[in-house]
Amino acid sequence: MAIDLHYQLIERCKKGNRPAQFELYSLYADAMLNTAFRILNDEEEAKDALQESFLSAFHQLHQFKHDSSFGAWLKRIVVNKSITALHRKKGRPIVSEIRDTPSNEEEATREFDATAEQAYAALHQLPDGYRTVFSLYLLEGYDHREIASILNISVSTSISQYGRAKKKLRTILLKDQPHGQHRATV
Amino acid sequence: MDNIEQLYKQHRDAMDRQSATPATWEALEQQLHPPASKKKTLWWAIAASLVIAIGLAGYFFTRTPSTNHELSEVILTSPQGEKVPLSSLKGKIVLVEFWASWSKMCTEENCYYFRPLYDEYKDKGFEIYGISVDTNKTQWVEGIERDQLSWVQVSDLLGFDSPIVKQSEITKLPTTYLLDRNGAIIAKDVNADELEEQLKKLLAHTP
Repeated sequence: MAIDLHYQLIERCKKGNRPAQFELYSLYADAMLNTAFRILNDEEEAKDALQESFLSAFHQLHQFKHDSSFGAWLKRIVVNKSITALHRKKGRPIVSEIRDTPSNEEEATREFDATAEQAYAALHQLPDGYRTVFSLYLLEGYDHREIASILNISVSTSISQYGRAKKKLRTILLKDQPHGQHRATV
Repeated sequence: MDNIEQLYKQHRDAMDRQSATPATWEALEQQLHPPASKKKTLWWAIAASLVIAIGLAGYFFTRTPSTNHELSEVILTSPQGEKVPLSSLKGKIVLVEFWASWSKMCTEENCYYFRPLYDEYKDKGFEIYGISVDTNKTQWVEGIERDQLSWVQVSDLLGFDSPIVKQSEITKLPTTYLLDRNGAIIAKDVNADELEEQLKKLLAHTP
């Protein structure tokens, strides 16, 4: 069972066993660093958030009762720390709670393709709020209700931010498409 | 699911560009296990130096060319079930490497640093004794194949509970020890440049 995957390892970490802590860190550090980076869009800040997250994870580990997967538990800490860091840097909420008209989706019909390189570049051109909501929803797998509570916004704001993020990504990625010859639907 | 969602799902893993470095672990470890106060550390350092000095003196006084007690005896098992004593490599310059198949840092060092050096110097008297701290044999063997590691591979599959791992106080992976032809430790955690320099120097005159 996936939940029991690192049971023994985590129990050893709870006792402060240094090699076990290193092993657990090695298993999750890269994935968690990428999660932090998608939110913070800055390598050094992401590394700081990673360190802070593992530190508090190891300190709070006795509270982890194996009722969820360790990865999910840790990821939530990383997401929270990263968002706190982003808020601290910006000095204001990254998503403002302004009710806006729903974005139209007409461009969504246009098919196109992009490489991982282009997709990555486009994602990191997005404003902080769009990038965060988009990453949390599509790449980290949170639903809008969870995102709303993480970012302290309403569910409808999370949904509309997500729609806008997609629209913006589409605009950025379409600029990179060869003129007039977007991929025909095969 | 629309085009954008498909695109980003498809490239999800390929967009992971960041990887944690040994430095990020070291910084964390510092905070998790802060070093003892300076005064205490100093006393320990003095005590440790004394012990080492006495040990070294004893070593040099008792050393005779016929004995090979410099090699602490490590006998572990290869994936094929064969027992490989570290002492069987006596006469070669040996890099003892503690590693694990699940550690990205090990994969990186093995593929980019140790493998090219091994290919170049293996016929000139260099060997690597790879001790894995894996606990799962399948993962261990897959790791060896994935990283194309052709040097000596051994493990007791006890992970960090292995007596040799405990005895060597491994706190990070990979950890390496460079041994001379008699099995004495020349250096710990050599980087690729240092290793190549040592190999050039040590293998210049084949006995």
